[in-house]
Amino acid sequence: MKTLIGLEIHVELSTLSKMFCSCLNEFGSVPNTNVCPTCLGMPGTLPLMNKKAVKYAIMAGLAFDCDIRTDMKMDRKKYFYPDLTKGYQITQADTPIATNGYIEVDSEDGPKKIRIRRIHMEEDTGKSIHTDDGHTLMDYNRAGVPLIEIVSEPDMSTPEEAREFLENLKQRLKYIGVSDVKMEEGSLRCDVNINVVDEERKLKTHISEIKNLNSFKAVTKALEYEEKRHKKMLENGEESFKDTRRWDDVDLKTVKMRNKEEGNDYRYSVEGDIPNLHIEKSYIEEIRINLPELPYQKEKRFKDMGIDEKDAKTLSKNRALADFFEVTAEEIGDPKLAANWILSDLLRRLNEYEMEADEMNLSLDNFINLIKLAEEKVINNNVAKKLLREIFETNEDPRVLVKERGLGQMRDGDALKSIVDEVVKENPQSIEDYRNGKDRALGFLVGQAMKKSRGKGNPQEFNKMILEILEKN
Amino acid sequence: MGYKISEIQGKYLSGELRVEDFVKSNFNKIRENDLGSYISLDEENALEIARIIDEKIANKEELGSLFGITFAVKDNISTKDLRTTCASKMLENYIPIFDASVIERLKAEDAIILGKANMDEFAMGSSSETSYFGPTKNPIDKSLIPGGSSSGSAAAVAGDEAIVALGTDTGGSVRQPAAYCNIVGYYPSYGLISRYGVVAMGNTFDQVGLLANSVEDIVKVLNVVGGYDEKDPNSHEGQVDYKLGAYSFIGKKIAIVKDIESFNIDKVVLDDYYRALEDLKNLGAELVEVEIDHLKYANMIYTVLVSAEVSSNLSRFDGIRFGYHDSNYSSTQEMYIASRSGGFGDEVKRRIALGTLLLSSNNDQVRYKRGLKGRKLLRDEMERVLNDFDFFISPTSTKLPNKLGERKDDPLSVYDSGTFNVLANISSLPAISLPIREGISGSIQIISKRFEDEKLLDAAYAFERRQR
Repeated sequence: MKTLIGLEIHVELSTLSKMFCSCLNEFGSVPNTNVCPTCLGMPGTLPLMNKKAVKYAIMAGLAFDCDIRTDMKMDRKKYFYPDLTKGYQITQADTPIATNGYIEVDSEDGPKKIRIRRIHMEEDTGKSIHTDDGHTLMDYNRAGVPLIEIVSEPDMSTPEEAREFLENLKQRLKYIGVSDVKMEEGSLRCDVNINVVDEERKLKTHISEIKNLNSFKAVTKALEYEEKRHKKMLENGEESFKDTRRWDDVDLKTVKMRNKEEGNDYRYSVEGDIPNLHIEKSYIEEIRINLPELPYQKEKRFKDMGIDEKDAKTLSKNRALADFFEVTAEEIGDPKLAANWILSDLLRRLNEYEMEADEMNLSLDNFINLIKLAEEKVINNNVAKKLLREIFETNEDPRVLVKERGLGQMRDGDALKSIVDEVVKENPQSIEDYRNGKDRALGFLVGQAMKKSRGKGNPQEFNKMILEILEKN
Repeated sequence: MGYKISEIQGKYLSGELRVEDFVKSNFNKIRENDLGSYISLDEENALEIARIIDEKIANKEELGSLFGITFAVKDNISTKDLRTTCASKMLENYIPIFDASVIERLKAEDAIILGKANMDEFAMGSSSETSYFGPTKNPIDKSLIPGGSSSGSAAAVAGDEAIVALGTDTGGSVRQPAAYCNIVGYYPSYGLISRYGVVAMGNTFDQVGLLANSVEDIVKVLNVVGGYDEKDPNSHEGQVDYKLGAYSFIGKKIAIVKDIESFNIDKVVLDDYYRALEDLKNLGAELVEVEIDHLKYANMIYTVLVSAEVSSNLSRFDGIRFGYHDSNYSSTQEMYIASRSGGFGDEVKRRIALGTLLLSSNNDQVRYKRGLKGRKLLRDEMERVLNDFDFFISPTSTKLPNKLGERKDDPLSVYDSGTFNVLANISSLPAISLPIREGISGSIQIISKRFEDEKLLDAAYAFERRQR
């Protein structure tokens, strides 16, 4: 049996103003403060196309290797809902601005191309807020915010591939700076389509659409749930229906909203208020040239720098993190070492705080200073790691902290030697153990030496010195 | 008969007439005539502005080009702080918070808006009989309809209740009432006058049109309200500053309708039309009968496309943010049904229903798509004709105005008399309707190439002067 998954993703573009008027495009404002006669749909108002939104849509199209349409129109999609101020949404029906793109994801059988059918421009709707006492309040701040809708082909065959696709898509959009792609704020919204085909028995289930998935986790969970449900229907020979469902985050299941046949007829027609759009090829090329380097391109370059594949992928995921890595690598002249520091220590902190690299307090300079302190053996690695934990929050200069607290590593050979001698003398049992083949005893002895130096010694150095003694006798 | 801008302004400047007195006389006339030309009057405000202009005149201050000129404004053009009803219960209490661009421009030139003119509801109709506020009477013969949908605009100008009027024209809604009230009505090239603030009916057909007693006055107003407006994405680049008096018909080739008698035209209208053609020949024009192949589809193309546009343009009237709200509902769907059923009149509902049907996807929108194709064919054909000829001339309306109430219950009647009118709207071409003689009579319509409005108006001016 084969699972077919397709995604429809709405992305709010981070333009300063709305799609068709000069109201602020801003999340979290006081309700109904970013509104004007145009986005409220007052009679007689006319839509003025935001050129920046068109540019962003082209950028998104290029980031996914789409063909960009040069001549297009806008259309009206009609339905009645209180959050839709004009009774129609301005969108693109049959002339989407971008078509025929793809994203490559890792699948069980290696890299796999997931095709993007189309990307079109449209406007967002307002928001309905349902109160506890049964009223509905309307907030039109979001009405008219520019959106792109990205529609994939049903090329994904596991929930994991869908998650990868979505992750990749999110990264790229963030990289090129056309959206802040925050699912929790609704600037990235995902609907999924799924059905299952039994190729041998030539049977398939009808497509289910699951709406309003507000996290990556919800997407995977809902898909896993649906995959099972569809497979079961096929196995049991149950009749399936084309339906629209929603994900219930509490009961962890999908709930049917309606049969698809009951859905709207949107009665598309031409939006005559907006003249047909013509985009010069030279303009598209100009945008293409100025497009920032994309994650997969960065990944390839990082691999060329000697970083292994998995690490290169992780480092290129987030643009801020990638930039952090690149500067660090250059400053300390050792890409692998920079990668290690970022992947093992910095990333752990970021994950712990559930932050992206561009949200953290720690500056690039202080991070590099810390690595340099460790590399120059002014402090040992343990101290460095402890300090990182601290300056991750405070962004203090590690050089100042080392000085103030006297954290500098012991470099006096004689002092180190006397500590080693003491340790050897005090722990004859461990020495005995080592010689009887218990390698772990060495670690214990080094630990004891570190303790005696109050952390200022260099464990590698201790290790070497103790080993010398052990081997000698 | 009828006021002229230059005469009135001359009297203001010479001190023979005070603006305030003239405005008062307009309001008196409105009450005396009792034609039902206006839905709302802005008397206090108009008199206040009149006094300010009188003061400016007395102090020899700089005056706007339309100083002291009184206007009737069709009630689907947004006026800030002045109720704009579209002659519908739906907008009975709707007060816009902004001015249409044309209104801004009029105000900036010291024009005086007397009030909002009656019309067919949401501009759907051709007699004013679909107005929620009751019909307008024809000032020439009160038993007759004034035409429509810019009914009050035409009646106000013809009845000396304003010097000039703004109307809107989607399929003849300025030219046909102008013809019925025997004044001049002008539909500009699509894009020449800003639509910002004009309540849409068929948005790719709608234009603000002008109604006046003379071509000269039309041009004076057009020079103010016409020209590029950044708020209208379909606005044509460039400013409008037209001059008159250079045009001569001598040696000009003009296309006229072939087989005019096959169009079921009233005898009087036809006779007046022939009279006008004679006059044109006498002015030196060469008239050539031209067959417009797609003319027979014009009404169908118009009906299909405008209904489709109506159904979406009127979707915003849901009673939530403005307009009629019926609070008797228990679900969102019921709320829409209650407010829209209660707020719209029959004709509006019919056209919304028709447009909705035409756009439904279950027949793949076959008629809508055919309509779009037909529009393109007709446009191309008109372009070819106007490449070969200076103008295309026809009667404005095929009928004389009928009695008020006579055809009210015949919903199909509104679709048949405007064949020559819709030709201009379908093709985005400018057109003007000119009276031929005094009284209830036929008018002619002249259509020219798009954005050759100056030539069109100058030719109309030349034709108009032959009458004197």
